[in-house]
Amino acid sequence: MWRSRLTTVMVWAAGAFALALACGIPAVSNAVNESRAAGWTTTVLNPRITTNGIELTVTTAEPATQPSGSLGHESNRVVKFVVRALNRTDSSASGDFTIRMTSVAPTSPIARVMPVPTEIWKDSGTVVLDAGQSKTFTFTSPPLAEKRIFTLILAGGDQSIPMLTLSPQKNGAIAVNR
Amino acid sequence: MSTRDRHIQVIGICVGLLAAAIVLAMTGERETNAKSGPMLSECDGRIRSIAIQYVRGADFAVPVYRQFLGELPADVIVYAVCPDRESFEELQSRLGTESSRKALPPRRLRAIVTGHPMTAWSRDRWISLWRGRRESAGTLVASRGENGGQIWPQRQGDERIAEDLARAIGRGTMRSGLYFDGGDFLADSRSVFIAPGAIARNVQHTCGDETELSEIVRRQLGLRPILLRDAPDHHAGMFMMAAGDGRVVVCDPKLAKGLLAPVELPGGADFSDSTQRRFDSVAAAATAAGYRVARIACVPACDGKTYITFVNGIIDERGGWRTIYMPVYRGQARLNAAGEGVWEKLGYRVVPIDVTSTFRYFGTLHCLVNVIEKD
Repeated sequence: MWRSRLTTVMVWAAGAFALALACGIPAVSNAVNESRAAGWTTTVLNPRITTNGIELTVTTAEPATQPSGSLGHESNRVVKFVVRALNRTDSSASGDFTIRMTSVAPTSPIARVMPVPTEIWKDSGTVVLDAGQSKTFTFTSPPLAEKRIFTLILAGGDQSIPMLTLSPQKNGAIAVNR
Repeated sequence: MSTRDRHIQVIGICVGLLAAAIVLAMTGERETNAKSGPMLSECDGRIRSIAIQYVRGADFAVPVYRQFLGELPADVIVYAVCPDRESFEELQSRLGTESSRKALPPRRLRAIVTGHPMTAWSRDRWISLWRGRRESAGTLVASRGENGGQIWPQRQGDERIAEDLARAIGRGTMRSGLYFDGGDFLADSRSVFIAPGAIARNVQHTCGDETELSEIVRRQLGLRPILLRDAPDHHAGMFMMAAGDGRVVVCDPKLAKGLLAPVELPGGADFSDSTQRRFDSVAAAATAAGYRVARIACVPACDGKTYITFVNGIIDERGGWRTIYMPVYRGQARLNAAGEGVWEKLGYRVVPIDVTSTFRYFGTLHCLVNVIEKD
């Protein structure tokens, strides 16, 4: 008898515990859940901008570990990027985007900050998409030199977001940070 | 269902809720720094301790340290963070033996040897939080990662300074989930101004948008965030300073136009309309937030990072009086006097510190000196 009562208590306790935790801990989408860590921040795995209802994201054509990893480009050190445009609205939509790459390196090991980055490459695209339709654009970067940081910036509408940071390593690999 | 069964259910629910409350309270304890106070104000309180960094050969920093530490009240504890003992001894020797108006008594410096590469710039490494009610000491908050650490070994080493320092002096430390340089944030007792660099490094990387970023900053630093999205692309402390009593001082290049003596700057002085608008946007944001704004002369160079600025100083408040250790520049007597005049008009005692040796490395006095604790 007591065993059955104890089981009933445990079942109700487990249910109440799970429900209370579900209400007390917020869920995070499109992110590694670091919301419990100091700072309540997340790691956005796929930065995105939205212009005229069209969502724009950038990834490297070759997969890299997220949120940071490396690409094994041994020769030329060029990187291919894929810009993906997805119409999230329920009607057709159009928009323009610009993708550009900047390059920077410390002027001196004892400088306080890095100088203002220089733009080394730029391209753009226009998309016209039906509701829910998506389209991809592939771009190739110029050769990336060692000991510099390259930032890929995507702009659309009034938004401009640095999407990826690339830093070629001595061994020929290219470290990717988001 | 009998009354006894209902009681069993109620007991079960209570046990479950109690367990959940304990779990949430424990995880909440870890996720919050609510026990710490807000970010230290730039302009309020008496300075109790500061940190500087030094590496062998950082010649540019020595004249600034020598003047500043010579002027600083003797009761301020100075921690010198160095990569090795040799660097510390070189600093101590150069501060004590080179000709100076006031030689620094070597006993004032307390060495913290890290054993890893680093730069000589302390300000950007961490932010100090006031001690909370139940804390014996405040907390140092370090960035999630240093900008450029991937290719810059000294900067990578800088990432560890907050922990090195906190461990050595018995303070708490926290690694923020946000990317920032300490100089991206500038606080008084009610607000924290956020430079564009910190916005760009976090939106769509550590948070969804600016609203979310503001909320994170508010919770982590305990102050009202003011985003300076159109400000110059530099640290906040290079183009503005909190002056206390609801006042801020904001740089204004056009005030420097007629005062600048010939000087070689990278690309020349930048008095363009577009740059002026960026500085004006800071004044507008501060005004919109309810601050009274005083403008002060400033010369940004065309490289966007070299500034002749009079706001990148250290403020100490003692006995109701405020002193600013204000950067000044050799050969710029008229500009220096204009800068000094603004601070004096605000009721400050001005102690000039010649930063001619450092400003070409994109920072001046405050960039070299970080305040750990204030009363």
